[in-house]
Amino acid sequence: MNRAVTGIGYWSALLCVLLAQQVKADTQPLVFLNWSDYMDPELLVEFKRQTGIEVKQSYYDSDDNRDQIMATSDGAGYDLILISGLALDSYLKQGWLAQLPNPLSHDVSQIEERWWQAFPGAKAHAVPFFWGTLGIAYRTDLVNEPITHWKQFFNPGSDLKGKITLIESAREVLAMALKSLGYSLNTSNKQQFNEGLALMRQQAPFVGSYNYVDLDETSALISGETVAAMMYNGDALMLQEHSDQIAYVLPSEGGNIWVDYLAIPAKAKNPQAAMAFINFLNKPKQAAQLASYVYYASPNRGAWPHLSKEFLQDKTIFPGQKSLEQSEFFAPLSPRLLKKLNQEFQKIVD
Amino acid sequence: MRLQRQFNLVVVPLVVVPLLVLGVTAFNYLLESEQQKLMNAMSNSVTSMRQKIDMNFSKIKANLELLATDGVMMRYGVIEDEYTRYKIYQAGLLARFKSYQKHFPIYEEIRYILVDGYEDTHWGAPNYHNVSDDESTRSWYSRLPKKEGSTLNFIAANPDTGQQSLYSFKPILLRNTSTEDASQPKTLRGFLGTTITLKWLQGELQSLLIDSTQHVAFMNGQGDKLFAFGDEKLATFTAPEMGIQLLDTNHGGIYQARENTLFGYSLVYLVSEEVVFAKARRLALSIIIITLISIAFTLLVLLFLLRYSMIRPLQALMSASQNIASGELNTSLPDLGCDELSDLSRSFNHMAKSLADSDEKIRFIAYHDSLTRLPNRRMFHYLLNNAIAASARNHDKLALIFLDVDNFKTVNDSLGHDIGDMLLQQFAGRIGECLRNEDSVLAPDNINQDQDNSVNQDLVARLGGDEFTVLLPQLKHATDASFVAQRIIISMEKPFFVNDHHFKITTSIGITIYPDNGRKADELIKYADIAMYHAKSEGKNNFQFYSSDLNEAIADRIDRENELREAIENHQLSVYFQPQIVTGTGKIYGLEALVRWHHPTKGVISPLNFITLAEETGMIIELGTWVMYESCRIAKDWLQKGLLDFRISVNVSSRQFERQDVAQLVEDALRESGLEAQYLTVELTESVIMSSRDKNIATLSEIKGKGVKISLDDFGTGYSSLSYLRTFPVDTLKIDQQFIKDSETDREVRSIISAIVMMAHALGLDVVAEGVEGKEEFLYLQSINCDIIQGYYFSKPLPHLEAEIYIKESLKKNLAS
Repeated sequence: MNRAVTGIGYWSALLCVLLAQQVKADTQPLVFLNWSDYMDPELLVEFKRQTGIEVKQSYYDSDDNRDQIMATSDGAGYDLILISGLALDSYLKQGWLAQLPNPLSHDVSQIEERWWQAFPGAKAHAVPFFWGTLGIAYRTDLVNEPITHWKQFFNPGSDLKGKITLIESAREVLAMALKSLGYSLNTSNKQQFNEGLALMRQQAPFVGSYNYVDLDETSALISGETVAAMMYNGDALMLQEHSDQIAYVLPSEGGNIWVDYLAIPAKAKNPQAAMAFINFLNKPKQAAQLASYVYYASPNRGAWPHLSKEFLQDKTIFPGQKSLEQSEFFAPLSPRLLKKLNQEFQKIVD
Repeated sequence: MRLQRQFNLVVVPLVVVPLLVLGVTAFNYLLESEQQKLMNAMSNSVTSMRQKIDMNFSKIKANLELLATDGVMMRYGVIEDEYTRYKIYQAGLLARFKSYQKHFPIYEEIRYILVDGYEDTHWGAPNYHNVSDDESTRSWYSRLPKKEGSTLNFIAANPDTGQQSLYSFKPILLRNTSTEDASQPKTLRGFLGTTITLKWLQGELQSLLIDSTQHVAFMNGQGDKLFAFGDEKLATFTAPEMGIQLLDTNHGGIYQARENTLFGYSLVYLVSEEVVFAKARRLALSIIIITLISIAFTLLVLLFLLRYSMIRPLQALMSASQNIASGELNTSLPDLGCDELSDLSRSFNHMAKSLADSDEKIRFIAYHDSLTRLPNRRMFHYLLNNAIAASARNHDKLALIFLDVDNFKTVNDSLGHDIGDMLLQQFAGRIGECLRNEDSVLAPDNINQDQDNSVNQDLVARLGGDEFTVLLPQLKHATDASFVAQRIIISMEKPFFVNDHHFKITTSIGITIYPDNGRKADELIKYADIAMYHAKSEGKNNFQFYSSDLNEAIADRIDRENELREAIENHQLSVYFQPQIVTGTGKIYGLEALVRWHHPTKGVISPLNFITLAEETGMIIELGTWVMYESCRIAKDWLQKGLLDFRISVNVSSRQFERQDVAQLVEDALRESGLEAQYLTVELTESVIMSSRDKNIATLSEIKGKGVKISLDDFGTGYSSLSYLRTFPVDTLKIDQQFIKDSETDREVRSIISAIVMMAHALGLDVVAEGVEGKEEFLYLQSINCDIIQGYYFSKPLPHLEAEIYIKESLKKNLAS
């Protein structure tokens, strides 16, 4: 009698597990590693409605931060990641990115060619998400004079001292320092490089924080704690929703043109869902909706017809050619310099 | 203060030495204790220091271990692509390094070095200036540990800082788990290293030093000093032994405490012995001061004590003793307490009292006669002088009475000295009684009457022998003294009973009066003596007052007495011999020995002048004895010369018979000289026969029994009856020379002589006529058959040598005829 009960119990448990797996397979959430405020929640709801897949987001607040996360888990734990173009190469080398299915969906193919080219390895492994600039968002009412140059940012006046925030990203901070000095942000010239470092060091005492400001009404920029912040263009527009005093500028020296990509980790548990999501996001209507939400320029042509004129003409979102001329894409830095930058930035951030 | 000095000499060392010994011992103990303390302190310091150092070293080691196995490190090390490493992973590694450095500020740098020596990732402490990122040129590069689990720790100069730092390295060995399978061995990816500042170590080392006289060093296994602080001079002396010990060097001792730390280093702590000595010197000073103070204090107390408890009492004793020595016998010391010195005081007082008592006794003995307890001669003189002075002051008379026991010598000789002494005591007692009873005679004022009515010590004295004196002070009349004298005389007439002996004695008393007879003591004494003498010559048993006439006669007699005594003692006497010639033949019948006195000034004195005196004074015994011996001696001499063909006749006084054992005398003389009895005749007077008849007969018989003949001298002068002649063992009669002289004129006498001769012959006795001078007498005597003739007719008494010549000539003559 006991033997029978045990047997039944055992077999039913096993059955449940298998079923659960199946259920799991169907209703497993999609773990998405992303910047914060970089996704329209409505779209997630829509996606779930359509596919039954729940998208769970995990946030990072800087590229370096993301790299840490990925390094720590060796690329595991996520189904979808949002990475900067600069990281592509390294991630590929680490074998962290899965190859995209070929061919890609029609919607995805609508993405402008130049964005697929911007960074090596993008084509087969990563889908362009948004592109933008890195500049300065500042409180027009709190500055003595409008900010037009990185110089002002790196040699802060009295109105800015202690009220600047940067980004905890060594490369990006150095890049802007180099830009303010008139150098290429990809320079391998040791002297230039060192000058940039020196400028960073020099600025460090006046920096309020190296942490990216929040993008909601609690933001330090809103409160005035921060008067000028190194910011991505779209984020500045997001903040402007809450305040009229905030202005975004891509300084005259130029800035950085960045491109974000969506990639599927090699160790993703739910790659199909991830791809489905990517496809979903690139549908014209969804792409436009998302672009409007995040105030970033969508790389997908298909989205443009669905975007407002106002949006398409916003110079912050779509900087003109002239503005873009001074700005650069990031190219990989020589390892030794990178190493040095790492060390120096760690010191500065202390 | 000599005692004080002596005491000091003994006590000072006795106090000083133990205290010094104590001081030295204390010093040594303290020194040792200091040494021990120092060694303990050093040992503890070094041990605690070592522990601190080891703790830090352990931490460093542990941290390195942790870091090396940190996931971030391991993930980093595995990435071979440099760019990837730097882009993605390095930030994380740096953050980890940063975290460690923040938590342990002693980290100067934490780094990851690739196998080729390239410093891949470096995190330095704030303001740390990293000179180079190529570590392949470092001296230690080749020594970097490559085996799993190994570590390299060493201290070396840090080119970045110019100081010494501690370098620690661990190899990072990993296998790339994603591309290699687990069976593959791990490969060396690089080295994780930490560089630690050693400022804290230097600080710790320096903190060991209390002052600059010490030295502390941190050394490596080869003995190189990585850090050294303190006195450089000490630095040259180190020994490899662990623990605490004393190193002996030329410059004094050095304490070394040494311990090993982790990573093979040594901690050496050196302290010069001088530290201990310096402290000890301070201690010594204190001890010396304390010791000196103790000594001084003790000495002062002792000296003070000595002074008061000993020296003072002793000084008191000393002065008291001096008092006694100077005669002040009534000294006594105060009783101070109950210690030994007060015991001594008490003893001293007893002694003083005893001395006083003895002194009194001695005085008494000195001034009193032991037998009779009367004042002695010395005291007598004193009393006499006092009495004279008193009498002079009071204008009283004073009588001085001398008295003795008549013929005391006889009593003493016959009865013995013991009896004699007891007699004297009774004699003295009777004198006292005589004085005591008549208070009216003596003035009452000056007499101290003893309670027991014993003899008044101040009046009677014993001068010596049987001589006594009596002082009668405050005399009104001289005649009063005679009453006393008479009383004494009468008192002495009563017989004396001494030890069953009963006998009678008499006393002769001489009295002299102050100031009648003289004023001076010596005068009075002399006169009293003379008076007593006079009493004796007046027949004894009487008293005589001194008169100035007595002076000469008595003085003269006394002189003569003395002279005779002297004569006998100084051999002024000699024996002469008068031949007794046989009438018919003219041969020598015998020689009579006659004593002659060769006075130094008066010339030869005949016996007539001194024999009587001798008999009176008793000197006759001595004299007679001497004559007997001398005569026998000469006779023997003649006998030996062959000259003696006859007898020598020696006179023996009746006195001798009374007082002497004549038989014994004769026997002794014969024996002494060696003369045979047949050559000796003893001549005696009739008085011998008449008194003590039985005794004398016995003596004579005894003498005769020896072979000595008896000759009766001075026959006719005494009262001898014929019957006596019969009973007495006489051999010869000698007719007194007065008869012979008278016979010359008186016919009656001649008849008597003739009758005597006939009677003598009838009795068988020889007859000798004495003092024949003329021929007529000779012829007459010859006619009546007087056997022997003695006298100047033939020869006067001849001295020894002349007698000898006479004998020789006589012999010659006889031989011729």
